Amino acid sequence: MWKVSLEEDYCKGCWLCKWVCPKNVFEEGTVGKTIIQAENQCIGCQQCVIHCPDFALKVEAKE
Amino acid sequence: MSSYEHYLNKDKLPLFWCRGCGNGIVLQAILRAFAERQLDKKKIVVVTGIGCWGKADDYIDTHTFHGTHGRALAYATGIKLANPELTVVALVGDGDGATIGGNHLIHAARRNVDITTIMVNNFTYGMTGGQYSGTTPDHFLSTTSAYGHVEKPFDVSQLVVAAGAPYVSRTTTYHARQLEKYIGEALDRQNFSFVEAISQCPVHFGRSNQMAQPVETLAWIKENTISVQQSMKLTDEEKVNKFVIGNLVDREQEDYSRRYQKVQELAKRGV
Amino acid sequence: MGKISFVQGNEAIVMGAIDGGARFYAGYPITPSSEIAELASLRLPACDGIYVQMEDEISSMAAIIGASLSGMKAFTATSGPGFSLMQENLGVGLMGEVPCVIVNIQRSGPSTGMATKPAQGDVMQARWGTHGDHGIIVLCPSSVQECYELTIEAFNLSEAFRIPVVLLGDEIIGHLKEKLEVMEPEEIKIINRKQPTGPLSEYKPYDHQNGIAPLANYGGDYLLRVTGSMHDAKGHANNNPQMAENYIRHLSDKVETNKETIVITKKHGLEDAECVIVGYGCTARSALAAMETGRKRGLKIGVLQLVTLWPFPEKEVQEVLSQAKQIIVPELNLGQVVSEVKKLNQWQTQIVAVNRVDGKNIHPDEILSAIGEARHV
Repeated sequence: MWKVSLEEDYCKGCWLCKWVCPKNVFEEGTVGKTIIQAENQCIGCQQCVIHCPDFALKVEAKE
Repeated sequence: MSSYEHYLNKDKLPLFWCRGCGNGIVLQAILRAFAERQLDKKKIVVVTGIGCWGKADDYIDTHTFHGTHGRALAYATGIKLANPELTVVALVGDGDGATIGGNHLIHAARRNVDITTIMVNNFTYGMTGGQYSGTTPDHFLSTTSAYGHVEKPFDVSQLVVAAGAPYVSRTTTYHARQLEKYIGEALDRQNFSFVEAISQCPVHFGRSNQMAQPVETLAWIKENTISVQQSMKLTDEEKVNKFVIGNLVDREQEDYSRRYQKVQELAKRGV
Repeated sequence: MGKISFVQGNEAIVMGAIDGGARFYAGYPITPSSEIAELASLRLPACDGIYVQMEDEISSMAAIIGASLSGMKAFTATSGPGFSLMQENLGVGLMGEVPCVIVNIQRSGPSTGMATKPAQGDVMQARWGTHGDHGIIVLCPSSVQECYELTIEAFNLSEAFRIPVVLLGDEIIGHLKEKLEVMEPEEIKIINRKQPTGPLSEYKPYDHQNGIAPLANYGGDYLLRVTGSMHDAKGHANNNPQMAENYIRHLSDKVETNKETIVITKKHGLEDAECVIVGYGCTARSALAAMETGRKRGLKIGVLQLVTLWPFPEKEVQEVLSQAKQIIVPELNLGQVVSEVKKLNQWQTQIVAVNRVDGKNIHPDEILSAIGEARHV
């Protein structure tokens, strides 16, 4: 199980996380920020984290 | 502490770069490479120039030097030669590193001073508003080439290989894992090591060329990326505006400082 | 008393640099300064120093700034065309407050000019060649001994005030061979930049409230941030108006308010002088010869030698303006120092400019024939 957290202050709504995610975890939000819509589908691949240009995402294993 | 955050100046965030700019991806890869090697930040000097990528020093919690446009490698040469124990990392853009800085790039490579040089190549002069640079691809538009670009671009990595650098790799911000790997290799090599990171500039380059959304610009980069092996099967025409990624050269070669030590020994013996 | 040598001015500069603690040279050869590069390449490695030949003068200026920040006292040498190329990066040295020494052995310009001929046409460039408001220190040797001593002084001043210092020579002094008395190491006063103390996180490389701030080395425990952009006390780029105003004023004030310490002049025969020759560099030699000849003829001539050109020795020049009947300013240019002298002339003292730009030094007789002339500049 994976915990996906978003630092909203850093997010600029570029949607790269949504584009690289293989599991549709993200969706475009209405205020120009990304929304974590399906955290339970996350497989922990970290693609969103390493493609986020703003250090806004963290994906950590849930204990 | 093995986290990249150890090297990040968090109080300067959010990053000032545009929405979707690839600079942040490259910055993260660099800080991860530092973290993986548990590098002592007091022994790292990050040297930048002018441009969007040149402002990366604001966000890095190591020794830093922010110099003039195009001259990062010259400053880095002095910094490194005076203290070879330092890990000197030069961050240059395609304007900074390959256009105004072109001469310093080829000489730093030729001289083989142990500097890890990471070039973000986004085919534009972003900070000044999207004018063309020495790497802007053929036929693409920019704010100073509204009728089409009439110059051919440098293949910067090949230029650096030809100048004699013993380690050269190229990849893109789409291939972020490979980017971190190459940056790590470059840091590990004790010689002039060059990593070219092809990156998206959606707001200037993208917008001038019908791909204004970050996803569109990065998708264009991804779709036009080929490996070194694939490129060998293509004709020159087929390779135009394709990005050949991979490790281009990786060989052992004594760096300037180690060679100069021998000069010092000779001089002291009075030879 | 140290060892006696018979060397060229250019060579004496290298000897002074090394005795003054320099261990890094980056440069690009150019007439008439190339002998400095050659001797530096020979002598520096023998004392664990580094000589590197950069691809141009732009990168040479950059490299010495980098080396200085890594803790090695660093210098470069050039002439007019190269000095022009160095201007942008010299600005980084000023804005970043980085100690370093730049030697300009002047030749006839503008542009390529006459590479092997002397001139003094870069005096104003040494003051204002780089853009923006700034202070700078410029020293001018008139003999081989001064080439040696002033190079040591240049390093000391650059360390004390965290500022690039220009040693402004000329082809005549650079290529002149004269007796040099090298100082014994224990006789040489060396000033080093202050190192930071106290909590690591509180280090501010640009906090000058208690005098010139300490300058850490790259690689040390105190993280050092240096930038050519306007910055705050910690070295982070910052455009705050009040901060910028204070900082730019500081860059000028740190020189202006320390003029007493910085300015060096040499006075010859000024006590009863009716005519004072204000000379510098090679023309100071002509001035001294003219004084000697003139005195034998009964003329009351004195010489004020400007060793420091910038900050301009206003006090000393005002003294001679107020006391003498006539001031003569011989220069190998069309009048760069004389314009500074004129600015200070509240006494309507007669000022005569003797100028040559033909690639030859001013003969003492030219100075003597200007004495007593009614010509008023």
